[in-house]
Amino acid sequence: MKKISILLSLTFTCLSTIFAQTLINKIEPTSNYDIAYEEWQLDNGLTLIIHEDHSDPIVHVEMTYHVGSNREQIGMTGFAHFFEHMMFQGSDNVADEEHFKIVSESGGTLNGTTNRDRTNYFETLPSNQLETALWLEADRMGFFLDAVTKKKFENQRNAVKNEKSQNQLNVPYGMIFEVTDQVLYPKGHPYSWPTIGYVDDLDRVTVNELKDFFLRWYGPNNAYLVISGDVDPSNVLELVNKYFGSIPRGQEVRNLRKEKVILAQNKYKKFADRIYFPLASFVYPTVPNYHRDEPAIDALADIMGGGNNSPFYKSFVKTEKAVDATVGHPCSELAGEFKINVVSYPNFTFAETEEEVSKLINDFEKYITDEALDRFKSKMRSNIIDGLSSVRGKASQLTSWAYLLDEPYNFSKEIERYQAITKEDVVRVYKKYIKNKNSVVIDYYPLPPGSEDSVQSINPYANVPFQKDPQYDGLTYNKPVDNFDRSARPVPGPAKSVTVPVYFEKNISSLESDYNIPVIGAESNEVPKVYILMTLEGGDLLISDDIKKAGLPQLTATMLNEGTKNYSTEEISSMLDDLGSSINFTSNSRTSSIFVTSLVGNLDQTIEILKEKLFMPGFKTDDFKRVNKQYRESINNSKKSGNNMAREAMSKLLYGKTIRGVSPSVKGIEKLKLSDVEDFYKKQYNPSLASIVVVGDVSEEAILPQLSFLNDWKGEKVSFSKKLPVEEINGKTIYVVHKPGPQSIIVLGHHALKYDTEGEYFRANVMNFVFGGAFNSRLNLNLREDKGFTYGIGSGFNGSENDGVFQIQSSVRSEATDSALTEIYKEMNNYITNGITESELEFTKSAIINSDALKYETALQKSRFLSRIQRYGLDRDYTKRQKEIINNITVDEINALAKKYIDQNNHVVVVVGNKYALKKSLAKFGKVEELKIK
Amino acid sequence: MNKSIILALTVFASFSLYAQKSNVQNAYKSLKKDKIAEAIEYIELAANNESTSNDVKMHNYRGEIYFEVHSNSEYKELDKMAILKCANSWQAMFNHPKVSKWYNEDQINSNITKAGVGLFNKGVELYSIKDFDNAKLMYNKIFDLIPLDKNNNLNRSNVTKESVHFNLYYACIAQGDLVGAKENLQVLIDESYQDPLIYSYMSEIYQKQGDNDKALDVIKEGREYFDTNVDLIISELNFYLGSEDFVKAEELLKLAVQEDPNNAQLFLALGSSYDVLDNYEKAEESYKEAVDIDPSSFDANYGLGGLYYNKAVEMFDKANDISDFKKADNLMKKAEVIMLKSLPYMEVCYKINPDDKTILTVLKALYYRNGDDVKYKEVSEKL
Repeated sequence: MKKISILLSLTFTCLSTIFAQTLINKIEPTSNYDIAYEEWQLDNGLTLIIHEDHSDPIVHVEMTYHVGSNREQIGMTGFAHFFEHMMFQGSDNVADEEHFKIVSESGGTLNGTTNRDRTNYFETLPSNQLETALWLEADRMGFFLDAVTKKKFENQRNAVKNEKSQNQLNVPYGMIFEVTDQVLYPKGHPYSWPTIGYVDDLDRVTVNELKDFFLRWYGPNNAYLVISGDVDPSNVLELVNKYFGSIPRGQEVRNLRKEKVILAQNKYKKFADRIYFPLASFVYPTVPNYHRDEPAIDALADIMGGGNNSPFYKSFVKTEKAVDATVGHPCSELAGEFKINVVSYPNFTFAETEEEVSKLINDFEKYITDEALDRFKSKMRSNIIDGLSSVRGKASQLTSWAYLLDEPYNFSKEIERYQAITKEDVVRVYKKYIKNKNSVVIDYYPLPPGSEDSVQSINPYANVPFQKDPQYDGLTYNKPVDNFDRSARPVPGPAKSVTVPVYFEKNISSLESDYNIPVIGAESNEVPKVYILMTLEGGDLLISDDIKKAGLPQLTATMLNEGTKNYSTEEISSMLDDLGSSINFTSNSRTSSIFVTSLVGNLDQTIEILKEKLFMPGFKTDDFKRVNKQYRESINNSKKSGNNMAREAMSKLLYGKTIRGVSPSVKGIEKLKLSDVEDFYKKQYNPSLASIVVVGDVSEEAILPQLSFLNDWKGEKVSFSKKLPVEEINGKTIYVVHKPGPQSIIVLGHHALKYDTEGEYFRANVMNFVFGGAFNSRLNLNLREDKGFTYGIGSGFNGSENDGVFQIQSSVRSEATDSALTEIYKEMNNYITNGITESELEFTKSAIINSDALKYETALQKSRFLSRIQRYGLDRDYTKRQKEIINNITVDEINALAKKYIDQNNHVVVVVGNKYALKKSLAKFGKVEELKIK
Repeated sequence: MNKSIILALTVFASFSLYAQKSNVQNAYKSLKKDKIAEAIEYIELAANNESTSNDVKMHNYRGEIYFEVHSNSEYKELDKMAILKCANSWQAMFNHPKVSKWYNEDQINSNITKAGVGLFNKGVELYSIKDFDNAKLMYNKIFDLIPLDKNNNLNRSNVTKESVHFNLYYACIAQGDLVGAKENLQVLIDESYQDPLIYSYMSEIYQKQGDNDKALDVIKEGREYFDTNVDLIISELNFYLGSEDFVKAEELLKLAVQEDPNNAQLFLALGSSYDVLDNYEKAEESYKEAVDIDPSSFDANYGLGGLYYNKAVEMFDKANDISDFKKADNLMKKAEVIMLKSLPYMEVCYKINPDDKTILTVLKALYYRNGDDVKYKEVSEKL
């Protein structure tokens, strides 16, 4: 049994303040999966949770307000999300945009997210910056409203509208959630509108309404502050009291009613989008988070459609009726949704899909077996453990438990919740919530080819006159009164030194050949998992002399994700699920990779499966036929995505008719034969090309014998050229790719430096930081924050061993395309001509150097670091030298780099948007040509 | 008969048939030229002539013409019952023995779907303008089409037998036709329609008819299917409170609160029941909980505010009857305090519904008593 001490009403009074707080829970871990934490409550109602973790010198500060779109009402949708934007716009003691600047220059990362139930704001920083983070969070909790100006309000209104256009209306399937929620939830239900809101509500909202919303919901008594990482709890208490203790309690907040959704009959809805594959979605109302039936319904969803061995996969994907068929069970605070999504091939009709789904559901009980349930439990256990891998992951979990549950909770309890499910439970919930029950059925179908119709978000309550809820009347803003000067930004203590992970380097010798397979690894025992990344040089480069075979490396990797000689795809998938492991083959322009994850206790068996998959691929005709079709259809599908079109256009312009410039075509893939895959496999999956990175809860001594099976790996030495020709770019041409929609995608690019860690490439990226490499870069501050053209814009140098590119990319409001490009050119010209300022350079240095503390926290971060060392033959001190370079870099050097490597005269610009509107308006920038993406 | 006469008759008959056939064609041509009034004239001539009245093409074109009238706002005024005529024509087309010779299955089925959805929407439209008889005509016609909907497309358009019965119930109840309302609800109950409301509605009808036992039985039947549905629990709770069976009431309330702890309606129902039973303390406690859960609820604020106000009025009345001035004065002072306790709740009601005469009257009295002249004037002017 887990030992939990619950201390009620134990008051701890800080010496330095008059405020007090009560310890609510002090949780001690009683299993390997548990974490220790303390839960306190301040007098003003603020809940504080502290978790100590000294494994890295970082701290994560997460402030969650228990307000999401569910506290909004008809006519005032999107407020909580709007606030997420507004709260980065400064407060009494923090200037506009300074939040990003302060956290960035402290070496931290930050963001905010909003969902139906809560809004959170979080920073991960070097641990000496804790006080700075608390100062920032407290300032926007207690001193926010006077800093809200009409200008900031209008800017952020534009930013939110851009976000909606970019992420919802201009993205295939982007409207599915909004449409489903409108049908599933009854009028006025807090989940019946989208979190991002309706544009007409956003247009209607006044600054005062927004302020009232803040006063009602953003008080300390409706907030949860979680601090996780390298901290001393008594110091945290003192600081939290100092900064938050004086903030007055807000209005009382009660939990919302969990109104059950009842569907008296199936509710159908049709919706047209710019998609290629039709989507049929079946959504059953279920239970809220942490309801007693949630785990069993989760299990049911996974058994139905959770992987390659699920009945839905077998019935739809395997039979080539659909490209994807999944079942999931997302739950929120007030309600849950059992979702079946079938993305079918265009020739398979909605009626056919519905009939097939109906048959499967009605006859599903036979699939609920103990074996299937055990597989789900293993997967779930592995997923829950993943939540322990970062201070942010732990903080996020602690927050959810705090606002959703009234009891002390921990990871072992979460695991137990799922381990306790029985087959009978799953059958019971199947009958209670799914079988013969009504659902919302969405027929999400493609707009006809050539259609110029736009995808629209329609507010069903647009004609309902807005009636202000009286709970917003009479709210007053009471500023805290302090005995210290909040305008003084805290001075951080000395930063703790950052040590790069201790790692080993070894070679595995192939007995059959002369090659050594280099292995680099680091032990990391924060979670009981092991991550293995095997990289094989080549990828697309191996077919550079035969570009008609573009796509072959990816097709081969996909085939390797299928069955083996001894096991079918479904069997292999089951075996991995049983272990809670995964093995994934992928391929890109320069490498092919195998990524393995395993619980440490199941590593032996996982390695056995890896061996089987690597050495005994099935390459079965039926699998090939299906995978080939999926690939072809995915190419058709990619033509619906503006971002894909922009990427494809840019590759073509930069690399011409080389393997990097051409994209796989439907015809080309159709022509590929299984023998091509087999030949490519022999060439690519070869010991002479392999290298391995291992990170996890395993020692060098333990892992090397596990990898010794690679001694038997045979293969002739493969050589290929890594250097490919590029297209010369002279002058400036704008290429328009036709795709009507609410947004245009702009990509400006030219050839640039090849990768290095201490040379011009590294320095050029330092130079780019304030130009377009950070949130508060010049480009973003201008085009997003000042002009409101975009939700975000960035730039960067991206290099490989032989060459590289410089690119600026953004998605902008279509009517502002030419204005956006004007501003991009202005910023380019200004930076090249006038250069960086002293303060910008200081900011850059501070931000990059301090961020080092955050780079080695998780196993995946460690493996990225080790992979770089291995790939580029670096030594462990290279990061120290990088710091020296940054410390010593001068304004003159940065300015010279900008002049040399940002080319405002020779580059290409790809604009994906409506050609009829763009061709004329873009002519002022230079030659405009239409580029067709076939 | 004279041969030439026979020939003449044949020619005349052919000519007449030709003329009727041409009415069908002319109707179609007029439809294509958007001359809808003309199309109606031609098609009605054809429909009323024996030779073409059962012509499959006539049925189709007539359906198309009236569908255009129904769905195009420009022509709506030409015939307000157009969708009914359209449905009759397409139904006849569907059942015509030669239909498959001229039309493919998709078109035939699509007509049935379009007509069914059109009838449903027209029914809703007529209901909203209180033309209940014609709304019922529309709904009832749908029952003829549902069996023809081979591909289940009416269902996919949310037009089902059950949804039609539900709408028929609403139309009947709006007309005060309790028999018709009950018939439609009974179909839904027999079909196990998954909406707890049907039991509440049926129960209400029985209550109107004075059959409380049956009303309670229906609620209990509903709870067999929806055991934790709070609306049904509240309905049942009201029965027990009405019959002062507090043991059962409390038992149910506990269940309801467990299922739905933040449901203001639950406490509101309890509060109003205690209010009716003159249990002031318990009514106050329940109303307060309801206001606490939903501070913006008109009903909860009105309940609590009204409770205080009425209690105070009762105390004033009592005081007036007391001959001992001192005692009467004391009671009046207490009543004054209780009366003013209703003010914040009545003010919330006023914000929600600023034109409610009762609220304005109560507020006027309250502002008079607390001496708030500005607000007194404001509400007085509105009265």
